[in-house]
Amino acid sequence: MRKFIFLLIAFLTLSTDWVEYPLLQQKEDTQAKIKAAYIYNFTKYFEWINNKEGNFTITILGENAGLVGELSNMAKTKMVGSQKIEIKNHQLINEIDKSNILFITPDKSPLLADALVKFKGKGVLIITDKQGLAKIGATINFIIEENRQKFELNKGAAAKAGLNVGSSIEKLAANVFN
Amino acid sequence: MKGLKNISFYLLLSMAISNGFAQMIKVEKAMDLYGAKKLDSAKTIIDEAIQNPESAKDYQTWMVRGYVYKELYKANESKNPASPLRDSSAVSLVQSIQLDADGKNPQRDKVIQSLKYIAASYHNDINKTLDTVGYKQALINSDKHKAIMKLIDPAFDEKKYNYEVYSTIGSMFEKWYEQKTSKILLDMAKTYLLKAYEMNNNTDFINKNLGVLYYNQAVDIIKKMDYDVPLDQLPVYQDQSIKLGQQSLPYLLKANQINPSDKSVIEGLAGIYYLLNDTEKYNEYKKKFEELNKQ
Repeated sequence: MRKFIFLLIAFLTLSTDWVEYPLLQQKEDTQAKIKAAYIYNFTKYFEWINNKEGNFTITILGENAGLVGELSNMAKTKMVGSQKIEIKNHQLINEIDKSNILFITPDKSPLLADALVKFKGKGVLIITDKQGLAKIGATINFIIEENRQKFELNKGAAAKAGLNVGSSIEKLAANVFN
Repeated sequence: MKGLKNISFYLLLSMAISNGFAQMIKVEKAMDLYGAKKLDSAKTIIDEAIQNPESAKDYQTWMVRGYVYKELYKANESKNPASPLRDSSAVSLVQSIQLDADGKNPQRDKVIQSLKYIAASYHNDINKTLDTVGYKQALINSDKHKAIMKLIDPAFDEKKYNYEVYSTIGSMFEKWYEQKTSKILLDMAKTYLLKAYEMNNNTDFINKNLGVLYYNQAVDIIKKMDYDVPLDQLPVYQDQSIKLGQQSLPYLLKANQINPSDKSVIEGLAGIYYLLNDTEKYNEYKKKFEELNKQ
């Protein structure tokens, strides 16, 4: 009889005990992963004429822990030609002496002009992440179109930076400036 | 000659009555043995009784058989989610109810109580087989539970019950998918969660589960993408991920509407808008999440 009562109570109450609550994959920074994949791909479409010695350095100017993390993960397994990839993160432009790629975060965008002067002709691919910056000198600028991350290319800026640009990248850019 | 015919008639009548009487004695004897806990002997006799066409039409025969098999199930197969003894008890008790169409059985309430017990045991056994292999048995047991409840409880809400079973099985597959990311598990999770959604789309649970399922799938596409995916393929990965993110959004918005204080849903919405590159909305839900965390 005791068991009977127990079972009836269980019948009335237990259904919600079974349910499983889902877990969110919050730790994945999807935008940073996409940017890291773009940046690694850019190393295949540009030629660094005067900047081939030592490690291949990618510097992030500003705060973007997600991107620093993704690029650091990438650097563990990928190389650029025979060069190892080194990731650096700085807050001030004066702290940067040499780099193959310089990524400027949106909040550090006002430093683009200084970067263009400092790295003119030194083979530094400058990448920005704010609407309109490709027009004013960034070689690559990330933009959002239809919820997707895309990029703009400024061929003139690449030439001034001392970089050769492969022609096939033009077809993949959302906008191309000369 | 006429006298001979009458003798034959009475002889046959007497045989039929005595046969029927003998069968009813068997039912009574089975009941006595059941009362004395001599279940195996009771089973042998009651199984003989139901072979007889006359006693097989009597609700008492099936009632006694149902009781006997129920006790045998409790003694021998209570841990077996696919117990044949329990099935026999259920079939017998249901047959007893159906034969007692006029409600003349003085023990009708007791028969219903026994059926409730059997129905509850089917329901409870769903939990025992709730895994990626045993879920089929869980569905069989839920069907048996429903069949009995529909017979004995006019207020039984089949749609509500189906929602509970499907959402439970769907969320179980979803949890396994989170651990193993197999497409089969994902498809099973979607199938059962969407079945549950068809039954009731107004709970935060089902909307949250479906929203998170699509969201996690969207994230997985980017997570599994290699860094040197060809540049022309990057938009393809983004398209797939964003499409799933857009599928997730209405479910999470509805879950948030139903239960605005669920922090994990707000966190999920922030994640979706981040995935969809909607900075304004991302900041809005991130702020809401941070405010709720302060409380």
